[in-house]
Amino acid sequence: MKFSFEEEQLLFAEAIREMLKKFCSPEIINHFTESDSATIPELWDSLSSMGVLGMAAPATVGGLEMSDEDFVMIMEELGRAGCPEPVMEHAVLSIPLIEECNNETQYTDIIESAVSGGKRISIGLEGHYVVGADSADYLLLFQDDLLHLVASESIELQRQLSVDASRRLFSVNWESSSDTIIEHDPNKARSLMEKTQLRAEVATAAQSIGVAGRLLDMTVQYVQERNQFGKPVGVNQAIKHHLADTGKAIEFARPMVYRAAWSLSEDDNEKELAVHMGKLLASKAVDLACKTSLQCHGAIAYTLEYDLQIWLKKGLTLSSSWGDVYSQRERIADCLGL
Amino acid sequence: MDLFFDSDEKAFRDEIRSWINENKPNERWAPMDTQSGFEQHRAWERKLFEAKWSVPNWPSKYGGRDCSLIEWLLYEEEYYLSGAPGRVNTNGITLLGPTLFSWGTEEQKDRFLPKMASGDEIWAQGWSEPDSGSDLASLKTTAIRDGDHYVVNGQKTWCSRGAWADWIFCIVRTDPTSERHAGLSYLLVPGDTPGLIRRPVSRLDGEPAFAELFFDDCRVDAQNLLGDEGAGWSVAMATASSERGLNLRAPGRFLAAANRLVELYRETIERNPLLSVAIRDQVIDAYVNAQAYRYQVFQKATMLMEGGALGAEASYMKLFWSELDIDIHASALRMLSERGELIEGAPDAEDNGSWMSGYLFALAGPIYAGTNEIQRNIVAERVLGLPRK
Ligand SMILES: Cc1cc2nc3c(=O)[nH]c(=O)nc-3n(C[C@H](O)[C@H](O)[C@H](O)COP(=O)(O)OP(=O)(O)OC[C@H]3O[C@@H](n4cnc5c(N)ncnc54)[C@H](O)[C@@H]3O)c2cc1C
Repeated sequence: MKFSFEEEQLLFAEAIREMLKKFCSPEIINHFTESDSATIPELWDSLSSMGVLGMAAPATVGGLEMSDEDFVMIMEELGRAGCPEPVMEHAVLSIPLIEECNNETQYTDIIESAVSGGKRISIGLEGHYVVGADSADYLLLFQDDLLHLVASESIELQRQLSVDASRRLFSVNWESSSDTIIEHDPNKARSLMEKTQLRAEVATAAQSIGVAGRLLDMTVQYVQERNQFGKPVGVNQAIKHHLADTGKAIEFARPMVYRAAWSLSEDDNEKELAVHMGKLLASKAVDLACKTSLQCHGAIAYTLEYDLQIWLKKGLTLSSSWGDVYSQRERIADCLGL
Repeated sequence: MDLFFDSDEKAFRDEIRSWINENKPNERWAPMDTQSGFEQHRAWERKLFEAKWSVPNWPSKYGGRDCSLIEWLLYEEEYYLSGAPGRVNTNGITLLGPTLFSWGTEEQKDRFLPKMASGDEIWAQGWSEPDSGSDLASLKTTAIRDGDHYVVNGQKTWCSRGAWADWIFCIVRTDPTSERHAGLSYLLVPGDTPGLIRRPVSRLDGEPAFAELFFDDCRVDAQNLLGDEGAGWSVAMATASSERGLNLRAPGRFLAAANRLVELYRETIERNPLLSVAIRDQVIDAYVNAQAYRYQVFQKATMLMEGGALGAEASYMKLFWSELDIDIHASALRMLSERGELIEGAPDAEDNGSWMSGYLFALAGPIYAGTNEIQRNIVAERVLGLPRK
């Protein structure tokens, strides 16, 4: 038993953090949401040049062959930076899925261009909205136990406005045909979907932890700067205890998210349970961080002019995407036979 | 990262598992916080010691096995899963023991550690005083040097098992003119010192486990000073970090309790399929939190084994386990419904009322080892960096 990351893994996450400080600052995020564009080209290019877009792809197509354990901290950094690009959908979920269906190397071109960032792919489960569909060249869509890869020209998109303005959500209207199917075997398609669900839960949980950490850090800083009654509001125990509880929730969720990522990488037989537990705790942690960070700031955080709102809204949406606390408890109950 | 146990770790776990299951007593003993239970539990400590299972993480020269921190965590898991008796010398082996390793002289370690490991000398913690609880540094009990002895006067309270313990590790004021943290020293006091009067006090659960200690010109050999005169606060902080970090409450006991809770849920839902799903969700949360504590501790243990140190973050752990313990027991009581309040001796009591006694004990968790309000202050000020004033 050795529960620590390798130097390499830590350095990579650190490098991503630094890159995001530059290319995914709050000013850039705010500008992106105001301009209503579908992407932040410089950010996407940096993600591409650092290998993030191909991190889960095999080396033969230019990828870094990283496992869920390898990139869990990267997902955390993306959350910490409030990254609006659909990196999870593209890099963590879509590319490995297409790769699984690439038996006859018929999709190698698409995968290669996705790894380089030239082509963008997003993904939708049947009956769910698709994040980042307007910037995607292809969508992977599960339907009737089959998996389809559909070029975006043939899909009708309808924008659904999310409370998180940086999250571009769409409902999709499309026709399946024998040409769009990339996994014909319903058993395999189902198992791919289950695996995708687990990966998405871990990656979403990791982003949630990053968001929660950012909310806490910003609040810790603010309560030292804001004075009332002649002293920083952060001297008051009511504030201290809110923040200590938030720190505790993050501190205890994080190892469970790392462990979930490790379980997926190892294909460990406790992986389902590990993943749902990690997501449950991460959702709880980010819910608490949203609540306490807003409260400890007061009215300033209740404005669009103050940057905390970026992470408040990310937290609000990530907490329930790919399964909120209630559905995670149901899944855990299933795993434990309760 | 490798979260599988390696073959040594597995072999170690199998060894303790089979030893404990073959050797644990089958009958139920009186609680260790009663005088008769105390002696039965002392005999159990000796049995553990003879098999080198009382302090496996200690060096072999003091009766241990030099096992790794991860192995010790597995040992704790197996120990509590087996349902073996509670450890009557916990305050010795988990609090004073590690403090002796850091601060004791060679003579002191040789003198105290083996007898602590064997249960021949059971220890109690004499820190709190009637007017000094959270504000420990305000304590008033004095120990004035007189030749090769200290003369101790004052009063301690809430001393767990202090009425029968063989020894008491105390914090005393060796410089009567000093204030607060300065002038304190860490003194090991024999329980049979003339002039020491010990009065048992019944706890909320009815066990006479607390003691009040009255020191009236008690002469204690100066060799029993741990650390230098005046260094008591620093020595005490080593003990306090054991109380909050992994030593006092390893995950094993909570994992075992969470497993029992899940079993109780299975039995309950079979009898009462209409049981509220809210209770099931509490059971799930308790189970998940026990796992979260386990992995948190594996991560911290790895960090320590790689040469790191545990600082003020230990307060996160104390907050977490103390709240988890209450949640586990509270959910069980909910499930037991009207039988929840039944205690040992009631004909219908589930498992002899152990959920209620466990609950009452859990209620103390947020108070002892530094109250949870104090832990939150520590986290806010020393982990997060918020201003004190
Ligand atoms: C089961 C049990 C076993 C114990 N065993 C031992 C033992 O073996 N040896 C020993 O020496 N002691 C022991 N204690 C005593 C324990 O260490 C004290 O109870 C503890 O330090 C708190 O002190 P107090 O009870 O005097 O509470 P107080 O310090 O009087 O506190 C009362 C309340 O005020 C709050 N409070 C105090 N100061 C602050 C502050 N600065 N900020 C916010 N809130 C504050 C506390 O959190 C608490 O809620 C034991 C206690 C229990 C319950």
